[in-house]
Amino acid sequence: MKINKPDLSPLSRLFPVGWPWSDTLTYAGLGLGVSILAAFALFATRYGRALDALYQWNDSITERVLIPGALVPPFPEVLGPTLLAFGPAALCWVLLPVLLWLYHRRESRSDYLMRRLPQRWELARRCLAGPVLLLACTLLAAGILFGLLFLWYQTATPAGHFPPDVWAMTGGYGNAGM
Amino acid sequence: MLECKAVSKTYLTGSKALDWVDLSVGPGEIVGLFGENGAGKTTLMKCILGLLRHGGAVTLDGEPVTPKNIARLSFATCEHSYFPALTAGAHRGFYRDHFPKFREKRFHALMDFFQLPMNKAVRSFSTGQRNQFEVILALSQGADYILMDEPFAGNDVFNREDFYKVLLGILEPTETVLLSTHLLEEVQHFIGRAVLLHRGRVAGDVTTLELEEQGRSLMDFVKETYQYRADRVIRALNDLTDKEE
Repeated sequence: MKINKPDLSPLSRLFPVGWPWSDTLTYAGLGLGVSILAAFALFATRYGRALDALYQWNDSITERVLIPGALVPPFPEVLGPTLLAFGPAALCWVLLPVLLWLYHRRESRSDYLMRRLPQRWELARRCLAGPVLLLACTLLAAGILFGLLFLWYQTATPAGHFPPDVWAMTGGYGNAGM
Repeated sequence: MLECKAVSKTYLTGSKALDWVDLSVGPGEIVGLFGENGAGKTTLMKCILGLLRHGGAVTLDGEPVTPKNIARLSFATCEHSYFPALTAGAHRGFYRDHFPKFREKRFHALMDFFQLPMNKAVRSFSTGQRNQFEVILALSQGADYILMDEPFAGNDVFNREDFYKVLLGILEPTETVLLSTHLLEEVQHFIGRAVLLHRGRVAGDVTTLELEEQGRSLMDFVKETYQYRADRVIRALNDLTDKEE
C-alpha cells in the first residue's frame, strides 16, 4: 500500500502517519457488530428461559398459562455475563496503542521523527487517540445495548411478575418458580 | 551555537556510552564526527536531539532543546526515520505541516537531482535511494543544525561524491552540519573540522585548516590520536603463521 497525499481526513490524525486507519475502522465496526449480536443473542437466550419459567402448559397442552406468583429474575441476573461479549473488542482497543507504538519502529524509526516534532504530544496523540475513541465507542455501544435490553425486559415481562427489586443482584432466579 | 556540556550517557546494561563530552558547534561549521564502532557517535547525536535521556546539558544558543526550538535540528540516520508506507510527495506534505521553515524548493531540487520518484512508497526505494531520501528530508526541513549519522551506508562511491558536491553547493552560510561517518578520506575535503570520539570521550578536535598547516592528513591525525599501531597486522599474521608451523 502506498499513500500518495497527506491524508486530510480528521480521522487519519487519530492514528500514526501511514497507518491503514480506514481498515482499522472497518474491522472495529465489524467487531462491534459481532459484539452487539453476541450480547443480544446471549441475553435473548437467558431472558427467553426466564420468561418460559413463568408459564406452564394447561392440561390440554394447547396453551400456556402464567404461573400465579412466579417472578422473573432481577434484571442484573438475567443480564448475567451478556456485556462481556464486548470484552474482546475492548481488550483489542486497550492493547492497540502498543501496536501503534511498535508500528513506528517497523521498517524504519519514524518514532525518531515523531519525537522531534515541534508538536510535543504528536506521537502520543497518534498512538492513543484512535484506540481511546474506539474504546469509547465500544463502551457507548455497550451502554446503549444495556438500556435497550432493560427496556425489553421492562416491556416484555408480564405485569405482576416482576421481582420486588428488579435491580437486586441475587436471589431472584431461584425464587422465581423456575 | 550548539553546545554539549558534560554530556554523559550510561545504558541500563551499565556500559558508559558517553563520558563527560564537551562540544561546541557554531553556525556555518561542517563538522565530521569520527570514531570506532561504539565510540559514542550515534549516542551523542541522539542525546543532542533528546531521543535519549542523558546527563549534562545540550543547549541551542543558550536554551535547552525543547519542542520550542527542536525544529532547528534535523536528523538523517542510517536507521531511517521516514514513513515507509508514504510516498515522497506525502512526506513533503507532512514536513510542510509540521516544520514551518520547510524548504520546498530545495526538496524538489534534490529529488530531481537524485531522480527519486515522488509517487512511489518509500519502502519500494532501493537502499541507496532510501539513504538519499533520508538526507533530502533532513536538508529540506529548514533546520539550522543538520545532524547526519552514517547517512551514506549502502550508497556507491559516485553517489556519495555527487552528494558532497551538491551539499557544499546548497548549504547556506548559517547552516551547520554534524556528520558522523567512517569514510574519513572521502569527507576530509568537505568538512572544516574533525572531532574524534574514543570510548565515549572527545579524543581529538581539530580544524582541517590546522591539519593543512601542519601538513598532516585527516587519516594521519586519526591514527595518531588513536595511537594506531601500523605493525599490528604484520605481527598478528606472524603470530598466526608461527602457530601453524
